[in-house]
Amino acid sequence: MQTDKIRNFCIIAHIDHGKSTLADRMLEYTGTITDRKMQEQVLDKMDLERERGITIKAQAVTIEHQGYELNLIDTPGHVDFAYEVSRSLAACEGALLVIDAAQGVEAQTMANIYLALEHDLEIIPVINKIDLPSANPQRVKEQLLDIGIDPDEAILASAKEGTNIDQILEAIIKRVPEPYNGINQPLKALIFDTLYDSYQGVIAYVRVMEGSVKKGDKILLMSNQKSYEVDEVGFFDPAMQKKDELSSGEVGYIISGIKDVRNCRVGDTITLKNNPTEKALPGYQKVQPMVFSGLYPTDNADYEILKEALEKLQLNDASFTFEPETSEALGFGFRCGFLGLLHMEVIQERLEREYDLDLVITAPSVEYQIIKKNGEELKIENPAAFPDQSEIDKIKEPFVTAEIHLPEEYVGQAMELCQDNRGEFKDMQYIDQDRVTLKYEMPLSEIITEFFNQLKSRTRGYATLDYELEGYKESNLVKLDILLNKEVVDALSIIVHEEDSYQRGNDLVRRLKEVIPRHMFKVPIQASVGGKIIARVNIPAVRKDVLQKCYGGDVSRKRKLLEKQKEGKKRMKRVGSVEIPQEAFMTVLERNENA
Amino acid sequence: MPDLKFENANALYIHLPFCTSKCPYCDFYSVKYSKQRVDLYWAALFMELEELTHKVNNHLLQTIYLGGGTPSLVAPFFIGELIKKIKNKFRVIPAAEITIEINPASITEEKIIALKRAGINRLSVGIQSFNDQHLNFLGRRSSSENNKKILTLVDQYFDSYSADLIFALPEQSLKEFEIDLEEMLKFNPPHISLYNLEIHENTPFYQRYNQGELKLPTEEVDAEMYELALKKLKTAGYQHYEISNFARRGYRARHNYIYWLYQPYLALGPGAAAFDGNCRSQNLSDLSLYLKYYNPQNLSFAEFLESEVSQPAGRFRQNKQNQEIKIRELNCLSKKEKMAEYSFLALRTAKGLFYHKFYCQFKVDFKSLYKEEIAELKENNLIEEGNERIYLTDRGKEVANKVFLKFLLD
Repeated sequence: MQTDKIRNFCIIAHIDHGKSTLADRMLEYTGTITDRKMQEQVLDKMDLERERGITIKAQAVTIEHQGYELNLIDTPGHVDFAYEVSRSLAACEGALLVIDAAQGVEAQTMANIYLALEHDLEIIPVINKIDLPSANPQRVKEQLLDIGIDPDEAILASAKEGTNIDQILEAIIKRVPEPYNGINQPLKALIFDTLYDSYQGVIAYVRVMEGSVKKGDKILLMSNQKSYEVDEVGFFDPAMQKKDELSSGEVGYIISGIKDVRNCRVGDTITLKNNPTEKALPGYQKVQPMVFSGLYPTDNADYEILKEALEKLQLNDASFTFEPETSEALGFGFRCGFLGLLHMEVIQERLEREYDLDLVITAPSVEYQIIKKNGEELKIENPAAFPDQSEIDKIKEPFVTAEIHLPEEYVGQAMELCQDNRGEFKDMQYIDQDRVTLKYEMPLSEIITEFFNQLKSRTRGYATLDYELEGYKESNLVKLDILLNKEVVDALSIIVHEEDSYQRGNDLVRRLKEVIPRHMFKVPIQASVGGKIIARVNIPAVRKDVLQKCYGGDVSRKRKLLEKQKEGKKRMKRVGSVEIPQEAFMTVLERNENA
Repeated sequence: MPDLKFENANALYIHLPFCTSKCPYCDFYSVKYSKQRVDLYWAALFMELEELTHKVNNHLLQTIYLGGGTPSLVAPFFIGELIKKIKNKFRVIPAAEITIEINPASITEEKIIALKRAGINRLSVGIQSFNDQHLNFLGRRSSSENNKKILTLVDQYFDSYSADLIFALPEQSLKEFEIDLEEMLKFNPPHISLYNLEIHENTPFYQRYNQGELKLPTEEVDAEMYELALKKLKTAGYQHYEISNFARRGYRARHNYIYWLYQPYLALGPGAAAFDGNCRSQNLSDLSLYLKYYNPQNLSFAEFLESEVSQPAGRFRQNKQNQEIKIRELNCLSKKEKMAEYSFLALRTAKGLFYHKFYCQFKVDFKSLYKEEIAELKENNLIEEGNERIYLTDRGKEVANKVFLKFLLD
């Protein structure tokens, strides 16, 4: 295809503003997908994506329209996947900015605009859901003007009813710049996502920037210098369709017998082994997990199933790591590394859903660097594995630069929150007359707890958060242990700043009291630092637990209630004589908003 | 359709699912009372009774229990006809216990007398409280004043009766409950049932509870109330013969005791459950379905009685054109389920669980099957071991569920 007949674009939108529905409608309108084959929200393939209304994996589809080849790249939409998003955007020249006609411009819309501008994309504003009675396109237009987008360029549409889809397609053709034509140069293709298929190996989703690639070519992955022979190239309709060649400007896939996703990373550049390009595309990073937590099967017999499940998930996800670990409290499990909390939740949910596993997940942690008094240096991402306080000379923890975009009116609340989370103010800039960017240096460990949710709630959802790892810095950290009935439960240990330890200890024992059921005996919950008890509460013994009425019609029902109670007990982890429900291990992560 | 098969009749429960209004804590099946509905229902009930007689080998009945709903809404004439019919179809022993539940809001002296004449010999009176505020909160249409009046009347006409009291109500203080108890004891009823308020799913209270509107007393207060009741009732001469039931000597509820002894029982009416020793069947809680099934011709009770004269036997089979209608849920229990049920039912009674009875029923030695559990429960002072039996301690009664859990089998 001639590059002047190609348009590459993505859709960016706040959750629920109708991104996926709009994509569906475009596929329908252009006949890419017939009505009968249409399943709602074609591009969000995972149940999880559909349910949560989020896109986790990037997808691509080629739409043919009026002799043009329109490549739509659907991007994930969460800070955890910021890198993946940036690579998807780098594969496009234009973006549809979808705004809900009733909700108007929202915080994430802003963040998306910044992202699009950063990648120099042509923005086509689409005011969606004009069919809603509460739609107010005029107000949205005023908002667009405020943020420097020409409101006259906005297209009014209703993805639900299919209104003005033709205008959107026309705008894509007219306004999105054609891709650079580098057909005569050596191959340079950007990997913007990968998928593992048990028959074909790794399927690389690519945008060819220069040159071309076809079956039989020897390709070279520039980051690791590994080479492979191409088995198949093709495009998505959205199913994979074979094609002879992918050339400059096109979007599609390359299959080349790569067995391990870790050898085919998002952001890497593919070129030809015998005719390589000089420079790789900019922006490649080997993403590293930043958040770690322990995953344990509730039933120890499920260990092998969990292991196999983790292996399978890793086939598809190079950013996720795991290694075996044991806990005195929880038995055999795995220490897993994630990009962030959402990534962690997604993996956890997939394990529970797709593999029917019951899991205990320990509170997320970051990787700490410990310098012992004897000079030994350790890297530890499991609080339980911390050496004794007396052996430690210094602890360093990862710090990030957090960038928060938000309306001016919430600056006070956001700053207070940052300060409460050991943030150090760096900078504040006005983006326009009432929008601000705050820059803070903060420990990553603070960000991975409830920070994001609290930021959202304190700013009524308007703030967006982005963060970048800065490096390791020394902090005054201590290990906080929790004792249940006088026994340390290693899986409940956390690393906290020394100054916060009393408050965190108090907060934590109180929270645990809420989630750990009463036992037949009194259970003291204690928090300790370096062997010293700093907080204590008691869970009183069960006083009364009896079903009063029990007559003819009740008997089976009562038995079932008892069976349920017994089943619930089974799902708990028994540590010493105390039964701990799964959620207790995650309680550690929550913080008291008012504390 | 597979169905229950009874060797012995024992006990018969009849559900009368009519109420003038539904109490927000109640999860028993009921529909709004109307004369016409009762009329149609009675014809259906007689049909089911007819059908039931064919499932029973030995027709000896020891107890009959009319529960609801609000059975006292039904005219005593109907009750009398029903008892007559039962006596006609079963061999009801002369000393049979025949109980009906009555609501103080829908009973009068005339009705009490009429019920006695109809063959009822025991009343279960839904007092629930002597506090007007609490009565109102529970959705009871009676007052403290009326409750006392009715109890006096009941006591005047009936030798055997039970009075129900509910405790651990939202915001109820220990003192308020003590007053309720003392009011009750002034009447010295032969039998008292004492329940703490349980929040059942599918009730208005459940929703309110989930929305945080109902502040139930803490476990501690609930336990203190129960302990207070145990003490006071014992002093007043009552035997605490089952977790929630207290009786003067000779006045235990024989019908309920059959449940706790894991004996079979028969049942009639929508929502009612029967048990033949192996399977339990429950009629679906749906009056219109029930009427469609047992009274497809929409006969009034008078019409039904007439038709009975003109074409006596075998009518039920003719009428049962609609074989596909599912009228009840049948659930056959595994041996493990039966053993668990047997254990927790027996342990609800003061006498507890006798090893030899358990062996007769299941051919399993209870003591060796639950060796560790028995030892642990004894050590924790939740049960005591007597002469070839175990029974709950007072502490064990308070946390009975924890004890029962131990006897569930995987």
